[in-house]
Amino acid sequence: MTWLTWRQHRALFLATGLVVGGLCLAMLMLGQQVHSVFHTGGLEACLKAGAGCGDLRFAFEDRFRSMQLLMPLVLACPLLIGLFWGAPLVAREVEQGTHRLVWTQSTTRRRWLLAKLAFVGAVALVVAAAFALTSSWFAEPFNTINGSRMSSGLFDLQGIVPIAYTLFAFALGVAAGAVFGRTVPAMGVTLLGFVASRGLVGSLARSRFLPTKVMTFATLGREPRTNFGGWVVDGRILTRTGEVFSSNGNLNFTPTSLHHWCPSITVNSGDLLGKGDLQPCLDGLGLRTIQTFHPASQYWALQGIEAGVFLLAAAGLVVFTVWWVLRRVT
Amino acid sequence: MTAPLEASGLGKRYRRTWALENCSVRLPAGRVAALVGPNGAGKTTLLHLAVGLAQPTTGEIRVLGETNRQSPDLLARVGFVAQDTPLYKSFTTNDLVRMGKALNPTFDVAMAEARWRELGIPPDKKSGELSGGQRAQVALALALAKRPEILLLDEPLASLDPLARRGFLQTLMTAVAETGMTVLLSSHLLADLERVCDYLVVLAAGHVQLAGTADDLVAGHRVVRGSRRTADELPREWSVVDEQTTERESLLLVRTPAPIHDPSFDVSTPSLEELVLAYLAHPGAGALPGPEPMEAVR
Repeated sequence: MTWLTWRQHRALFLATGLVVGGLCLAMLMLGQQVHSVFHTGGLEACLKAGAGCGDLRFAFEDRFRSMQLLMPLVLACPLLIGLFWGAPLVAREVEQGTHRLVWTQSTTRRRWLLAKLAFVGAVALVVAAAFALTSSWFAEPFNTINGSRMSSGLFDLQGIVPIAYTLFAFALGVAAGAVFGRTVPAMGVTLLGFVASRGLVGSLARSRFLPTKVMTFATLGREPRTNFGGWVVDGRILTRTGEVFSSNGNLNFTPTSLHHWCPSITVNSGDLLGKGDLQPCLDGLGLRTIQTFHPASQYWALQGIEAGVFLLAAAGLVVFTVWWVLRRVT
Repeated sequence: MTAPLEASGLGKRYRRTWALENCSVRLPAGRVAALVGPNGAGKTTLLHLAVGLAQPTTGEIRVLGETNRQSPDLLARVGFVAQDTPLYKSFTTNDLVRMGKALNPTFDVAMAEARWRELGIPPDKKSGELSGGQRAQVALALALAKRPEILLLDEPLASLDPLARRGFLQTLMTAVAETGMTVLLSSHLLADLERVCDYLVVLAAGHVQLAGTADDLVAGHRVVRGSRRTADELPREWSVVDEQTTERESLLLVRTPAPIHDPSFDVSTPSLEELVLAYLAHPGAGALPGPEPMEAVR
């Protein structure tokens, strides 16, 4: 059975290996540059010292703008496994009628399906693990620049979650393929299902997995470092009297809001306001920031929970697929 | 002795339509049986039920005495060639043999390989690149290499040219002569099967319309030509299966238990094909002359 599965998938493994391997190689080569510029170019030292590092940061980001193209590919990699390994696993057999050949040999359907799932799933696991290691290493400098490895986008491409995403995408593809019995619709459902569940968990569920901390500080003072490396999920600025000055944590004015908060300052168009001009008004407002965040110490717990959620879903899909194939496919 | 294939009250419903309904049939051992019927009559459904690809909605079907047709032990004794002879397209003939060996404890590698040599099928050619006739032969050889006690074939001749049909049937009949296995093969064309089949099951609209040995069926029917008469004027023991009348003459196919001695009729024996066509043209025709009720058989 293992030989059969291998024989059936070797071309696919090779093709996927080239794509994923190419992606890993791209990450390794670019990552090498990123790491060396980051470590020796002074940015790392500057950031470690806790400064803003505006110019260095700008130069760095400008140089590695092409990373932005690589990131979506990296995030889409688990989906590739779901689309090209998962969806056809059962669907292509049904489509080409070969299930009628293989199910009438002296092997049970259950054994056939479990052998395929186990073998292809194991290869997917190895590929995903290699990939997750590479992208975790690749993301390191960006973690430091970003100030946290927990914000969306960075969290998703390192640690153990990419492995869980991959196995989930694979199981989703297999289940969709079994239900539809046709590869293309199964791929469509896998694509939608994967993007939707990743999106929903990332935007709604993840921030609720663990209790957050709340910290209040004077907006104009120095930000305390308790949230350092953590994931700020909400920040708002209130005035002394409790009015909401800003709901996104940003301290800036528009002409209208300036007129509202600081009626004593009159601005003519073309005037540039300096910090000194605003200071008296700001002092009078007594702004304080209330920040809700997940501390950096929760990183692995969040990784574990999110991976667990997707692995559990994958296991559920596998059970469903076995049930469906044994009962429903004829 | 248990029948190699035995169905009673068998029914299969797909969503709202019954593909097979209240179907009872008993195939005697050692026969080469043709399963004949128009497209959509339920032939594929019956074969799929027999090899465990489908589960019955009602009734039961036993293959080699077993009701659990998905058990590996039973499947090892059953050969099946599915419609359109599906094979893994990227597999070479050698790969397919290796697959057969991996999936079947009783698989006879030497036999399959001898077959390729005999037929001149290159062992390293991908099955997707073989001709239709070669594909069918490869599929048949894979099924035969299991050394099955019963072999089921679903429309194996449908896509073959006449020469390939002859080759296929030759291979099949040689194997039958060597092993004495029971064969059930479906077709919507009887002409090809007439030479090789000695048992007949006719399916129409999900029902078994006719079943029996070819000899019995032919012996139980007569083609009668004579001056035109109404139904009342015919002997009572006749049941008329098919009737073609002109103004002056009637041409009847009748089922009758007794020889016909009436000199006013021109009586002849129908060919098996004539017989089947007559029944196919009249899906409601006649009671089953086929097997006795199963209880009576036991």
